[in-house]
Amino acid sequence: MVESLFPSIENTSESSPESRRKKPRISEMAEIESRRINEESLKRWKTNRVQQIYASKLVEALRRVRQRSSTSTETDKVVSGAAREIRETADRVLAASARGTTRWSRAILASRVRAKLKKHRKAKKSTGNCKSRKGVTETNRIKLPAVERKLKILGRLVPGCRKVSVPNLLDEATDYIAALEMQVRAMEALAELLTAAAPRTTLTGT
Amino acid sequence: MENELFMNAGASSHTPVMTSPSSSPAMLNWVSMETQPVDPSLGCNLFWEKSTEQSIFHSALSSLVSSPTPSNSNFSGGENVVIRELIGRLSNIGDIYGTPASNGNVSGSCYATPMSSPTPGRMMVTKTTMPITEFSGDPGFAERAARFSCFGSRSFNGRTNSPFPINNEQPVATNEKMPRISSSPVLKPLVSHVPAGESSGEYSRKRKAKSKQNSPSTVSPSKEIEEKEDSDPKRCKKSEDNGDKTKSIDPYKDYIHVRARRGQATDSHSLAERVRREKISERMKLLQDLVPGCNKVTGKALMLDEIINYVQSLQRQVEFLSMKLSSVNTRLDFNMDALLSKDIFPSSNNLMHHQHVLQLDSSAETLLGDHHNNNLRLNPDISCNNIINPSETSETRSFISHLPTLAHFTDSISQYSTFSEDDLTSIIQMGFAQNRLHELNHGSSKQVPSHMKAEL
Repeated sequence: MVESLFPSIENTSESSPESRRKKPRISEMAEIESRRINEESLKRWKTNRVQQIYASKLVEALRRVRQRSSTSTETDKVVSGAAREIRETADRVLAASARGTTRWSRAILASRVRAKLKKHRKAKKSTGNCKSRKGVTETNRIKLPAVERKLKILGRLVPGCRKVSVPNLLDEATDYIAALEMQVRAMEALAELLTAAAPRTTLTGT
Repeated sequence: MENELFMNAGASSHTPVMTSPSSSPAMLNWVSMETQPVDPSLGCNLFWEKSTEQSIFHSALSSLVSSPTPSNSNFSGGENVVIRELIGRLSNIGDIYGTPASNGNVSGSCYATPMSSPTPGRMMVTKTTMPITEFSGDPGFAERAARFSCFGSRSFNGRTNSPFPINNEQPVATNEKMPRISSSPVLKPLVSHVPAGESSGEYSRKRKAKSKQNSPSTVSPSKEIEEKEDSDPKRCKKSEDNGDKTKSIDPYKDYIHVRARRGQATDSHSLAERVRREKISERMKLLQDLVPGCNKVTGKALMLDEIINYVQSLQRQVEFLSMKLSSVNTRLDFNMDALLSKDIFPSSNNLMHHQHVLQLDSSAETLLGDHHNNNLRLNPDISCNNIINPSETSETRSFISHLPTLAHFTDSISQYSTFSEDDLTSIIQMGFAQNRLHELNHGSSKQVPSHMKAEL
């Protein structure tokens, strides 16, 4: 079932110039760690098996979400809320596929727990802390070098990597990008299949 | 004296006096052993000075320096040279010093030291010979020799990962029993392949970096001689990023040995800085391969810009796709398995005749990438799709015709940030679409792709 999602995608991804370029580069670099990162993480996200695992899990998660949302009324808010839910579900599935070897995957999986805890704490905590934090950053803001500023931004983009050292941050970003690419491909294929199948069963749309 | 060795490096040619790489650690071993009683702290330095074969070492080490060392082989490249030369010297010296005793702790060494050497000396030996011992894993070495015709450092490095760790875990006793001489002839033909392999390897282009003996994470015995004082402060250096070879081999070694390159500062701080810089640059290279369109960009700042843009675009895509999936989910109330069980390839008829089909198919457009995300804000309401459909049909066809022309996405990523929601034409130039282009061309959805705008 889910294999149909990736037949063409896998071929194209393998033949993409990036992967072609990557392979000779991998063989060149004798650095063990870089090879580990390269082979393990990037190829890992390109393997058929990983994609199938992700796709199947995604389908399951979506089905659960759908069942949950079908009971609620249809409003625009719900749609956007459902979108966020699906995105978070997809992210969690992606992080689960990473098997906890990377920092960002652990951060994604932990963020759910943290969000629940924050809800409890928000009632008690005042907003004074946020203000003080902003004030500090404003007054102490010295123009960091451009590279460091960008590294900070990158750290904010990759979940759970704000205070990570530079080389580790780059490693995490590498794996995260590969994982995101796989996620996008999977979701696209899934959406394609679903939207293409929809008209056959429900010709009378909304 | 040691400096002279490296001064002569450029002058002397690479003398392929190769016997076996394993003998070099042996030589180093007994070299260090010799120095032990004198002054372990001085290490090999004393020995070199005392050695009557000083001239031999001079020429050997000079040839070591001059030999090409691929940058990818962190230490093995330089070690190859060192080992080869030292082996050559060793063979010349002959059995003067008897069977060398390798450091038992450095399990990779083929010449285990039957003598009980004091630990500091052993550590010293370990430091110097640790990378070499990987070469000289005799028990596995012969097998590898049979397996690999090309003994280039490249293949060496490839093998070092797997066989060496296994080899290194072998008990010391087995290594001790390996006589030095018996292994030499076995390794001789292997070593002879080394320079050939090195010259033919793709790292031949690194040959120009003659001064760059080793990558930062390697140690050479001559380095030990020269940088003895600098290496001591480096004992406290960070231990991460150590090559797997060193990690697997040496339990003592938990820090990085860096070699100062010729003509560069030998200060420990600058060495550490160089190590750090090279680590970061390696990772940036990896990222460059991953992010499309990064090849033309040079410099860390610009590349980071590209990377950030790419990550943001990917995240936006995920968000948009999740929105799309949510809409599909709400619309469908039947079993998803039934849907996915069939391979769905919407025919072109559906596109033409069914507005609803168009409306749904437009949502399946993957070519538009970020455009979808932008359109999300425009038109979240699905019911509006009908209005847009007719115009989108033509655009769909135009897009389809444009698909094959999307060959380059070089400057597309820079456009991500400046992309306007209403600019459909800019979508075509979106670099990220290249992936989608491949998918669409290969996949069944060639007729499906339509304008995303309709979806929402």
